[in-house]
Amino acid sequence: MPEDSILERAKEFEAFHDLEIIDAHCHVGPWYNFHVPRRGSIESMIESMDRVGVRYVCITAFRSIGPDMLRGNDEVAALQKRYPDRVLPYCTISPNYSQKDIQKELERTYADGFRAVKIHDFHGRAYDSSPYHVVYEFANQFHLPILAHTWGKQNGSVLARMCEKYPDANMLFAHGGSANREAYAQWANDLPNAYIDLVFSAQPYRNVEYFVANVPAEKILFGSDMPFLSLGQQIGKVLFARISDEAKRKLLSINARQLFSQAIELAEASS
Amino acid sequence: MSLEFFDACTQIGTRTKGQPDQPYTISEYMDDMEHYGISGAVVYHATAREFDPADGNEQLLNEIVQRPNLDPQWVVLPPDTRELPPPEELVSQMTERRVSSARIFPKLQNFQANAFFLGELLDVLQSAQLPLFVEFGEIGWSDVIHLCTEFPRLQLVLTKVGYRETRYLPAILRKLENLTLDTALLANHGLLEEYCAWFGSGRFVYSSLWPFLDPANAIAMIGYSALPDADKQAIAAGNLRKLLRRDSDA
Repeated sequence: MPEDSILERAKEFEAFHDLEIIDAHCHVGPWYNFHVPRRGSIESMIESMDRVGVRYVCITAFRSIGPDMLRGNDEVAALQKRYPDRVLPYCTISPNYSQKDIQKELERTYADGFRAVKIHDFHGRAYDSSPYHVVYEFANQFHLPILAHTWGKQNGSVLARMCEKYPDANMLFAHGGSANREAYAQWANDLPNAYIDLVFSAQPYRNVEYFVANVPAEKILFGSDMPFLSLGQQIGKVLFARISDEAKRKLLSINARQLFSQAIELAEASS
Repeated sequence: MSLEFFDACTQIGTRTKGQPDQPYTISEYMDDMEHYGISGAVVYHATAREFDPADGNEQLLNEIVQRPNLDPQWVVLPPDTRELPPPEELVSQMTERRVSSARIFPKLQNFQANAFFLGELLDVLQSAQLPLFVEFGEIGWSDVIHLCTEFPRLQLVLTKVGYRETRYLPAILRKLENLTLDTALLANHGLLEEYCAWFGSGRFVYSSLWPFLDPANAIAMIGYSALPDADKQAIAAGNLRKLLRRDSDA
């Protein structure tokens, strides 16, 4: 296959079903401070996935990032059961529940087939506050990936310290390049269990190229933030990037297939 | 299908506070145009934004000479400061020198975007059918509403409207028919399809915001949208051509 085949196909807006793309950072549902078309339904997301050629989306419910962790995780569980061949579930943990309830929710969702965790400091607590240690302990024990919202050093530095403390939990630093780009590169280089995703509404010029040049391609994952953001808008930066097709395959599929291997195994067994 | 892209917002020239790896020359932009499949662009000069509009506007024309696919855009100021020629003369120069649009930076360049400060200039721009471009961060909704209602024949192109503005945008688009939005940061899942159904595809234009953002963002959003091909092509290039009255170039 010629070196530029992905770029040339992207210019024709072909669907990339053959790449088995995995979108590592998605949500589902509406949100409080702006309008989300079609209430951010999974069906609207699957339509986008089919147009672009995305196999799986890893989803966390906005309701859980908002006020209701339990109902949000229930929504995700129901969607995973409805679309087992398209949806990989994140258990979203709010640190505003008791540590006992957090432990219970991790166990409940694990029993229901969740094999990844999402945390977001929109909940108002720092990533080294005590409720989060319950999450890290659990993920460390079961070798689970944790997707964490980050925005540069502000909260990424704290998460980097947690990476060192919990080496068997793989931490996916969301929004690589949003701020302090060099810090993301350093974390991904220095910490074996640190990965970065590339979600950003205002994707900076050649951000993908920067990370591929400065970080092993195995440590970078594609995510879109759908249904906040358009899948097409977010994947363009990878499809059109001035990097090799081999690196694009790693970012779009191979790396996520490895990081989410437990979830994919369960999904493929059930679908 | 492939699409032709005509870029509504690019800046060339060295900057006061640039990122080390951000490009700034015409040749770098031309190289990116080829890579991303962009056939033409509206261009203003960083010197006009960050130093002096009169100087930067002139520098722009010197730098893009013999680049017919680049559409020069001049940065303009309130006429009373007399830093630029009087409105009639300024717009006459623009027309003669193939400058097809104007841009203001009211916040950065320290004035208010309203009829009191800009009225005489905007009257002339709307008579000459030259669109006015402005970044959302430079102006805000109150001034957008004021300008579009006070100058109903002026085509206002609002750039860099972010995805969190969706509680404002439906009323704005419904009530201000002379307003066009660029799609660079209007990145919401499904929003382009929804707004095209509500307001028509004629209200949107592609822009890259080069050299600050990745040109692929909006290219892929338009290309992979659920819109009919004709609407995609209108947003990618056709609508901007109409605004700039370059229809015959297509």
